[in-house]
Parts: sequence; C-alpha cells; structure tokens
Amino acid sequence: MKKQRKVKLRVLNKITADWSLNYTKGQKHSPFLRLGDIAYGSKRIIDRESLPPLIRRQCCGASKSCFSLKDIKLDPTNIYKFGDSQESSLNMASEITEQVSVDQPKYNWVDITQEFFSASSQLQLGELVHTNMFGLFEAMSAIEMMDPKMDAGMLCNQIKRKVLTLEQSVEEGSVKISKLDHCELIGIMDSSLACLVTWIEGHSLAQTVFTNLYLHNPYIIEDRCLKCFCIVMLKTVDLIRERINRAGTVEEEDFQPMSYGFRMAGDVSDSRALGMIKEVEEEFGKISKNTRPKAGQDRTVLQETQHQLVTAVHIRLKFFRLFYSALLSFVKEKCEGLQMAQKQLSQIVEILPAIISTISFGVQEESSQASKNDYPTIPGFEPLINQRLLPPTFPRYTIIKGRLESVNYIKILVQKLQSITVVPELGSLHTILEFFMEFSRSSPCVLSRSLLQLMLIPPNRRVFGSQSVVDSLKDTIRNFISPPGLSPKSSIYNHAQAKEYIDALLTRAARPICTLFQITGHNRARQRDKWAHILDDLSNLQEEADKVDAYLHTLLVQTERNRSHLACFGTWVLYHTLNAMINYTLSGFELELYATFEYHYVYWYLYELLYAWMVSTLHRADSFLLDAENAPDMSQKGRSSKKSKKKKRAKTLARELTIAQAYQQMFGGYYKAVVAFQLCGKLKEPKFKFDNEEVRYSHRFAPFSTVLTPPMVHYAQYKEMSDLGRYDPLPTTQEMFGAACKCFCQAKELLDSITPQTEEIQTIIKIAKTNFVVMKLVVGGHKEDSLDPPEFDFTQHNIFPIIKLIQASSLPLWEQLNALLYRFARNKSCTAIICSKLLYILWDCLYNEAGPVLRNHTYAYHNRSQTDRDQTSRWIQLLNTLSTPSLVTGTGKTLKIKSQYC
Amino acid sequence: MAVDSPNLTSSGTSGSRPERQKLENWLNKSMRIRMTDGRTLVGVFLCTDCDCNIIVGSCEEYLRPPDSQPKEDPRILGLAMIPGKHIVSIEIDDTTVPQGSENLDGSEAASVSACFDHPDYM
Repeated sequence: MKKQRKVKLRVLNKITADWSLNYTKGQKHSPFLRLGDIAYGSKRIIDRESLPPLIRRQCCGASKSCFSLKDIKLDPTNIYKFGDSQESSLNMASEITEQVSVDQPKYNWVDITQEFFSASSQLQLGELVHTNMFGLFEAMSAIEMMDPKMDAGMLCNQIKRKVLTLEQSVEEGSVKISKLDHCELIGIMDSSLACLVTWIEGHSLAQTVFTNLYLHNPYIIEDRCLKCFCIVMLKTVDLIRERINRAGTVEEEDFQPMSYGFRMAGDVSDSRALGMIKEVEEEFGKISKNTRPKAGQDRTVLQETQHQLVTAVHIRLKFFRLFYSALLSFVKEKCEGLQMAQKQLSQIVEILPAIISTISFGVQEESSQASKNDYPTIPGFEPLINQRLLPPTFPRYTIIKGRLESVNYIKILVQKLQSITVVPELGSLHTILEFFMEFSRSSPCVLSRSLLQLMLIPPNRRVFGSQSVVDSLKDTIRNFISPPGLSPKSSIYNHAQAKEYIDALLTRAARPICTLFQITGHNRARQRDKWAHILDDLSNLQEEADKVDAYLHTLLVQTERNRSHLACFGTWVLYHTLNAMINYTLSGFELELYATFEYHYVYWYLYELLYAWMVSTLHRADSFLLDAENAPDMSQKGRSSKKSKKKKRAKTLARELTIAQAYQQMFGGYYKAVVAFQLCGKLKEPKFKFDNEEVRYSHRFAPFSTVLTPPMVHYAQYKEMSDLGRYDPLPTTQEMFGAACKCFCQAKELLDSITPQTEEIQTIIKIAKTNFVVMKLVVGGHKEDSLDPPEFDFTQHNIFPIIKLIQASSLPLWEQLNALLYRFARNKSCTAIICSKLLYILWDCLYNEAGPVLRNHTYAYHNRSQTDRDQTSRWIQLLNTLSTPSLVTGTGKTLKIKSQYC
Repeated sequence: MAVDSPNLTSSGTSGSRPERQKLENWLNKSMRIRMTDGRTLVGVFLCTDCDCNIIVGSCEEYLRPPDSQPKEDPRILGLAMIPGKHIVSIEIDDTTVPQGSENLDGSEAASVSACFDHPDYM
C-alpha cells in the first residue's frame, strides 16, 4: 500500500517536472493565463491547512501541472471541464496528505530585514539581482502591491467588521435558517435575483450570487421554502453557466465563466429540484386561496396584508420554477421543448407585474453609507464573504443592481427569449441569418444570445439538432439561386461526379457559414473584428466555388446547350462575402469609429463598390432563379408539362434587391452631400500631424485586401475614380446637392415599395425624407453663406444619420463672430466695411472680458428689418457702450443691455 | 525599459561584491515579507534592486500576522512586486533540506520554477 503511494507521488513529481519543462520551452502565456484561476478552484477543495507548507506548495504546483497537462494543453478555453480536474487534484492532494505526517515545523524563518536593506542599498541604480530565468519581461507581469489600482487585497484590511460564514452566522444567530417570515423570504428572493442579474451582466459569480450565504450550503436550511428556492437558484446558475460556456460566443467583458469550485447542488436532479419547489409553491398557493377575501367578510388590515404577503411569496416561487423549467425546455434536443418554453415564458410575463408591485414587501437593506466593496445588505447576504476569492488582478468593483431594475431586466430577457422561440419556423438559413442580425442589433444579453446560438447549432452540429448543415445549405442555395446542379429537373442532378463535387464544396462551406451565425452571437464591438476575420475563409471558399461551377458548367452544356452554371455557387458565396464586408464597414458607424472628415471615402466605398456589387450579385441570382423556373424538365423527357405557365414566380429576391438598391441610394446621397459640403467649405479636412488620408483609408479597408472578388480599391484608385475633374465642366456645389437630393428621393421611393414594412425600414424612410428636404433647402440657398459644418445626427438610426444644418445661435459666441466677419468680408458695401471694422473691435473686446455686451450685438444683427444705416448707428452706439463699460446706453428698440450683463 | 548594459543584468556572476553575493544566496528561497498595512506575503524570492523593491513568485497573501490563530486561508497572488517603501520586515526560510521528504527532493526544482505564476491580467 505504502509503495503504491510512493509510485503515485513519483508520477506526480514527473508531471511537475514536465510542466516546468513546458515553461522553459517558452509556453508561458496560454496555459498560464488560466492557471491563477485554477489555483483558486483547487484551493477551495484541498484542505490546505492540514498540509505542511512545503507539501502545500507542491500540491499547488502539482495540481496546476495536472491541469496544464490534462486540460489546458488540450484546450485552454474549455473552462467548464475544470470541475473534473478539480476533483482529481483533490484526490491527489489527499494522497499526499496521507503520505506525510502532519505535525512538523514548517519553515525556519530568519529575520534578515536589516541585512537585506543594507545589501540592496549597495546595488547600483538599475542593477538587478535576479534568478537565471527571471528577467525584466517577467517582472513586468508582477502585481504591484499597495498600488490601489493593482492591489485588490488592499481593501480587505480596511474593513473592520467581522465577516462570518453561513455556519458561523447561524451559530451567532444573525442569520436564520428556520421560521423565516414572509417579508424576509421576499427580500432574500428579490436580492438573489438582483445578484443573478448582476452576474449575467458580467460580474464574478463569487461577488454576486454567492454573496448570498444560504447558497453556500442550502442543505442545512430548515425552512422548506428557502431551501427549495436555494437549490433551484443553484441549479439555475449552473444551467446558465453551462449554456453560456457551451455557446462560446462570449468574451471576458461579457461574462465571467468561473465557478470558483462552489457546489451547485449537482446531486439533486432537475426533476427533483422542480418537484420540491412545486410542492412548496402549491402549499403557499393553498394558503393564498384560503385567505382570499370572501364576499361579505369583514377583514382586518392584518388579514389583508397577510394574504398579500403569502401571495407574493407564492408568485415568486412560481417565477423561479418557471424560469428554471423554461431554461430547461430550451436545452431539449431538436428544439422539442420550444412550445413548452413559449408557454412557460408567457406565464412568467403574466406574473412579472405582480412581482414588481410586491417588491416593497421584502425586507430592505438599511440605507447606510456604502463603500466600494462593502455595502449594506439584508441578513443572509455578506458582500465580503468571498473577498479572499478575488483574482490576482486589478480590483473590479461589483455594484449589485437594484431589485426593481433586476425584475425589469428579467422582463426584457423573457421578451427576448420569447422572440427566439419562433426561429425554427423561419425556413431558409438566409432568413435565419437575417433574424440573427436583427436580434443582435438590439444588443441582447449573453444568456439569450447563447440560447439562440445553441438552438440553431447545438453540440451535435446539426441545424436545429435535426438536419445536417449540408442539407440545409442545399435548401438555402436552392432558394437563393436555384443552381441546375441542385435542381431535380436538371440533367446533372443525378450525375455522380457532379454530386460529389457539390457535396464536397458544401461540406467545406459548412464551417464558414456556421461562423457567420456565430459572429452575430458576439457583442457588437467584437463583431467588427470577426467580420474582418471571416473574409479570409470566404475568399478561399469563393475560389473553390468557382472551380466547381466551371466543372458543372462543362457537364451541363453537354446536355442543355442554352443553360449556364457559371458563377452560380460563386454568386452565393460572393453574396455572403459582400454581406460580411458591408457589415464590417457599417459597424464603424455604429461604433462611432469614423470621423466626419473620413465620411467621404467610407460613403464612396459603400455606394460605388460594396452596394453596387451587392445589387449586381442579387440581380444575377434573381435571373438564375428565373431561368430555373423556365427551364424545361429534363428528368421527364418527352412529356410536356401540363401546368399553366402563367403562375406567379415562386421564388424571387425582389425584396433583398430593393433593399440593397435603396441602401445604395442612401449612401450615394450621403456621399454626394459630403462632397458638396467639402466644395463649399463647410466640411474641412483637419491638418494631420502624424498621418494622412491615405494612411487612414488603407487602415479602414485593410481587411478587404484578402478578398479577390470584389477586388480591393486602393487609395490611388479611389482618388482617380472619385476625382470630380472627370466632369467637364466641374459640377457646382448646387449641382452636387441636387444630386444628393435625387439619391435620397430615390431611396425613399424604393423603400416605400417594399412590403411588408418593418419598423426599421420605416425609420429609414423617415430619415431619407428628412435628408431630402434638407438637401432641397440647401439647393435653394438655405444657410448658404454660413461656414458652420453640418451635423450628422445618428440618434434615429445608428447607421443612417440625419443631416442637420446647425443654427448659428447654438455655436459659441466667438464662432458666430467669426462667421459674421466672413460674411462682411465678402459683401463689399460701405456699411458692411464699417460693420466689419466694428466687429473687429468687438472681437477684441471679447478677449478683454466684455463678453456680456456682445450677446446683445448679435441680437441687433439678427434684427434685419432695420436699414443698414440704422444698424450702423447702432453699432456705433454699441461701441460707445464699450468705451464706457459700466453704463447702459442703448437707445434703439433693439439694444437693451441688461444691467445684470454688465 | 530595456536593460542594455550586460553587467546590470548579469546574475550569478561569482566574484562580485559581497553584498551582491549575499543577495544572490537568498534567491529562490522562501521569503516572508510584512507590509506596512499589516498583510504578510509568503513567496519565493526572485528579484530585487537598489530600492529594495522585491519580486516574489508563487506569492500567497495572509491578512493577519503569521502566528495568529486560527490559521487563515491565504489568497493566491502569483507573481507580486512589493515596493521597498512598503516593506516592514523580511524573513528568509533557512531550512536547507526540507524535512522528512527524500521523495520530494526531485521536485524541489520544479516547485521553484513553478513560481513564475503569471496572474491573469486580462
């Protein structure tokens, strides 16, 4: 027995040595990034107090090395596997514990403070004493202690009160585990929900959900209601964590997947947990029914409140049960649980208002001063309980959401979940992708995003768990472009070689297409990178699609002379490539990356290139569809089709086409407007100090260089293609504005023709209309001579702005003055010259703190009904007032220098 | 901050000044440092400079003084740098051969090299 253990330990040592070898080989970062985390997980389980320190250290090292060998090297991102490894490290640790007798002096500490200080002070400036393997590079990643921005542990010492665990608090009597009254139950449930929501929003589990002490060990709770609530809560947390990790579309800024080794009631089955809560829920339901007001009964206030309290607890239990079972319904294979989920979600929607109205019944925390880490809570919650679980990173402060806010959050979450239950009925993958994009635009939370992802492509990698990706791609492509190779009517449909080629292509296409869906599951900011990244894959796919098309074409023309298979699959891939490029470019507007002086080339690229290609791609696909419908049926030779030819076209891309055309016109309008604004000097390019337009341009469109079709337009080409010098005579500003006006008008008409109209399209129509009117005004000379830059207002839509010409008065005073001077300088009349001189003086005064007086001068200026002469005299008067600044000397009707201004 | 002159980074060069020698002898040993705010850090001594800034690896943080009861759970910090001005006392572990563990000799080197914990900063 003893020998066996020794062998085991030797193995352990070997592992440790291997691990250190890995380190020296330079595999530092990827495994290490998670090591700190893992150390935590294992730390909680290994009872380290019973180990002598040296062994403790080894445990730590050893358990780490197990991780790095077992999990991390294989798959560093698979965090949810760690649970297993924690247990294995626990086993190992306990073996070591057995091996070594317990009571030994651990360290032999020798104080060297003075020696050390004097020795180190002898070092020269910049001289380091360090071990062989340790250099400045490693030193950089050390946490700096006592730096409030780096050292999360600093705060621990500043909190004076004692932090007790659940067991300690129960012993002390500050936390009850039996006979909780209804107010307490309501308070605990609502606070727990708030913690849950805060966790889903991206905070650490330890600092949110597990500040609830009851969840640390629900089994010691005697109160049945609280106990079953805690168990269901733990199961819910575990399920949410599992779902989000599995979907894999979250980044660290969205969600923290660590579970810190907390036990999630894994030994209670789903059905048992639901059964427990249901039982208690029914009990409360009964009491609630019995205490309901009956006709003709006189009720005391006490009875009434009692009834309300019982009902409040009852609906909460119901809510948590429904929420958990709805989540479980989403997990069911092949989307079989969706109907159930719909039902449960609508039940939740019904009870949410009742929860909101009874939030005030729960016990509330005292409103004492909250510090960054510590905040007042109700009994049973301890914000500092997991303070020792803070990761060795810079401090992040967790602010738990309010109760009302959390229920409202759940309300939105439930609405989102309801909206995704219809996805399997949408049909082709293109429609589904459109839905995914639309869904993502509303910035949904990580949970709904993950559930949607897993619904479409569950771990078995089949669409909705049932159809293979290749098959559903075939359906989708048939609907998009009807390639002869996929049409049963065609002569090559049953050709073995052709089939093989198509299957091979689509098998290759499956991964990038699935990635398109996954991209929409990431948060909006991350999507931009991902769109750029996918272009590589799509470009390769494009090449293969073209080859397959060429081969199929040679087969096809042998039997059907007048049909073509060229650029058929290719067109389909191109459609996705263009979509990715467009999404990439547009995300720059949404993320507010582009400066106004960059708009002209961004709009140009969208208008002249991306959407132009998109329109022609859709045209080609649409004509393929038409061809396919009119094609003779080659599979049934000699028999004429009896169906009437004059039926409505079954498949058409008219809607997509119209939208693409409309968007092209919109961007055309913006492009022309921006150019016109540049021509008349309202938009100016700032002087770049460190870069120029070319650098910016190349940077903006850098990802497009990997794509072969459409080819990248380089800056020099862009300059050449967009040069207005091509036109003879040069277009005037008015003409450019007129062209923009026309574009917006066309966009509006195209959008109007789309049915059915979505809310988004209606918004864009409104924007197109507004811009049309603004352009019309500009053509008519509105604000012609002001040099104020136009404003692009993205409040209505984050991609299509409304162009606004700003009111002069909203500008700072000195800018108004500047504009006036500019005006007068151009207008060479005598009065104007005098006025401009005066304005110069006024301008001077502005910098001599005569600002208040100036406010009145603009008033005078705007009052255009006066003759020039009158105005001039007023200016002179105004000037007089400036020379004697303490007085009010305005005489005319328009000049009232108020005393408070002076 | 790149160090360009080789004599600054050269470590383990024997025949250097006795002070340096002394510091080098302490390298890779366990070190216990008390900080001005009362926390105690235990880790492996890796690096120091003229301002007595110390870098320790595999660092564990204890809130209470080391001898107090009951024993508390440490918080794992990994690689930590303690500015010299916040150091109250330094102690070094003087156990040359760990007791009762001829089995463990081979892994001592490993535990030392395991000290380069890179905390997750991201």
